[in-house]
Amino acid sequence: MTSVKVACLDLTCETVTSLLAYRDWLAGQLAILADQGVSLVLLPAGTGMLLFKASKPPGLNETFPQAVKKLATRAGGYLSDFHDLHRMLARRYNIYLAAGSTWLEQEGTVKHIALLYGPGGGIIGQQAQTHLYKREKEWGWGRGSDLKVWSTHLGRLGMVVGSDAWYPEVGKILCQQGAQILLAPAMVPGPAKPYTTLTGMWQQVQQNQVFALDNWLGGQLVDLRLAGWCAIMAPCEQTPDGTGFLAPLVPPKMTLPKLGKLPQKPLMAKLDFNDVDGPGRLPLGFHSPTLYFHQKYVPHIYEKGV
Amino acid sequence: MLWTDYLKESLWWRYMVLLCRPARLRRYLTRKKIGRYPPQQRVDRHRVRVAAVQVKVKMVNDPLEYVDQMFSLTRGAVHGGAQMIVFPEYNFVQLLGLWPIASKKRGATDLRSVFPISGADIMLKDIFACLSPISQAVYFVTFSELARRFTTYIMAGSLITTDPEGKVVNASHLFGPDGTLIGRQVKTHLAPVENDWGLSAGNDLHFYTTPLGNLALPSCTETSCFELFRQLAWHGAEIALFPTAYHWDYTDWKALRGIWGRVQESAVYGIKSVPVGEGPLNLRFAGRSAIYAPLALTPKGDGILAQAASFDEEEIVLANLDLEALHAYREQHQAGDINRELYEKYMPGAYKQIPTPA
Repeated sequence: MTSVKVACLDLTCETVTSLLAYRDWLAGQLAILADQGVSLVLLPAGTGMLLFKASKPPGLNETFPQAVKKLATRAGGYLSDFHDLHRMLARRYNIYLAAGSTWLEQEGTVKHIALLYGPGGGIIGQQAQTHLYKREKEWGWGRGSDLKVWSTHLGRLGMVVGSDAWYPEVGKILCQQGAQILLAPAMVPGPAKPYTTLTGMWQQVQQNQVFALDNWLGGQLVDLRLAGWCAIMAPCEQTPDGTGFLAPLVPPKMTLPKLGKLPQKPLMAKLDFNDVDGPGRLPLGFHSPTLYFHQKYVPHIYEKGV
Repeated sequence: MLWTDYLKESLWWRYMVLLCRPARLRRYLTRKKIGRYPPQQRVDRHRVRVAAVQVKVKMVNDPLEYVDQMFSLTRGAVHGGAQMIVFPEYNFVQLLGLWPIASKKRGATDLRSVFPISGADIMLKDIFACLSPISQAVYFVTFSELARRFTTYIMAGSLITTDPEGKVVNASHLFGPDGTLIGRQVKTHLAPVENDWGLSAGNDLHFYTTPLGNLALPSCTETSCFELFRQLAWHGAEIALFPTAYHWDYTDWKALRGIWGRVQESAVYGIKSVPVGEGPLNLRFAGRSAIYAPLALTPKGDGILAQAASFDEEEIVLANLDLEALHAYREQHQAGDINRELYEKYMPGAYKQIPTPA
């Protein structure tokens, strides 16, 4: 595959009023994207919670962590609906669909899980968030202990879930396993801070010389006000003005589109794998042999406590 | 080689030794009448004032021109209140102008054409090794004296020099307010062009505890990878003194993927110093020196405490660092999680799969 067309779908919490409304909205969006040759679509994190909320379970007007716990403990029924809906749409439109995320109880803890569906209608895989923000630890979430890369006919895909976007270890581990495109569904508390996006996936893209789709849920979710944002990123050398953004197009001057104002249409871009050795790119294996191969420091620093 | 060439070379070296002798450089600085700068009695950890110097590269015909430039910049920084000053990478290239043939071949793009040396196996590192005694002497005396006379910490930028084992390395040096050399860091991640030159990489990281904070001296390409900064932060570094040199088409966007990003990931302060102007071999340097902090510790939330206004002029960038606020930020910082199980599973194994760089 020399190039692939990808898209991020904007989604705000207020869009999802029922399962049927979500299905119709998503089907309409995917139909448009499929017509335009898009092969891979990313939804933001939290889609499982939006669908759960839309079913109006009792007592859901509490706090977000309480809602998550409720969702995770009742996941069975909701999860099969979630799977069926997204598998059906992925198959109908012949698209790889990273359908956002939900919360599941695994190994006795609640974990934030993102899911990827293939054009055959199958579940390609799921990825748990592997690092937690302070507040997420306080909520009692658990961490995943695996980072998977899936070989598809689009290329090798990896997922960076939620807060993992701000942990460069995650991108590095995925890219060392050959990931070519990173999918990053997230939920970021508002108010919007433009430079936050540059500290997360944008840095991982530049360090690892890889493509990434970044999609943050927007709107009000239970008691959380979220800053919505979408972007498709590449190494600076592979973007029109050297900004590292394929979409939205950012002026070369040091400004960013105002967060919270979502584009009217889905964000689309073409990822060109032919330009993998563009000018100025550092090789992925750009490491000091002694420091890393002899493991002088790497295991040590991660053994040391906080 | 003809006997006349031997004679010329011998006379030239003797002339260089005379020109660059420490006493001459010290006498020059004494005539500057620098005055007394008493040492700071008490350091306020809420207000450590630092400077990043943006140096315009000017090839010199006399080492006193180099001393003069460094003196002016140091004085400017100290008069701005700086207690610690950071100079850029390759803060010695000006001295290559001392070689007479270099001044005649200012537009040369190949160092070998400037310093013709026979021998198929000669690399540029050998040329640097040959020049090292002179550049090292001027560099060390200059910054030792400036640090002592102005009673300030100076990270003198980096110098390509020969280490005690005979390897040619790119090393940064930290001088204390009494003029002693208190720190040295050999660059551990060489740029591709430095590999081509034949330089050797360092294999250790050093950290320095001073009254102005815990310091580390990463340089240039060492900010391409987050791991090194993780190590700095875990070893207690509070401030990264960062000499670098951009000899590609500089843009603010490309610069963001260096120390700015590492400061955000690892919650340290970063003081970045760059050279600007035209160096030898048609190397053009451009960039903006700056002082960075985590987003939440900066007035505009952009991670920048202070930044040079231009990318091609000499400037001194000054800012105050609050070390106590940094520690408070680290305590409250939402990130900072560690997943040991993940790292044990992937980190050593993943790195073993990388082919050894040529």
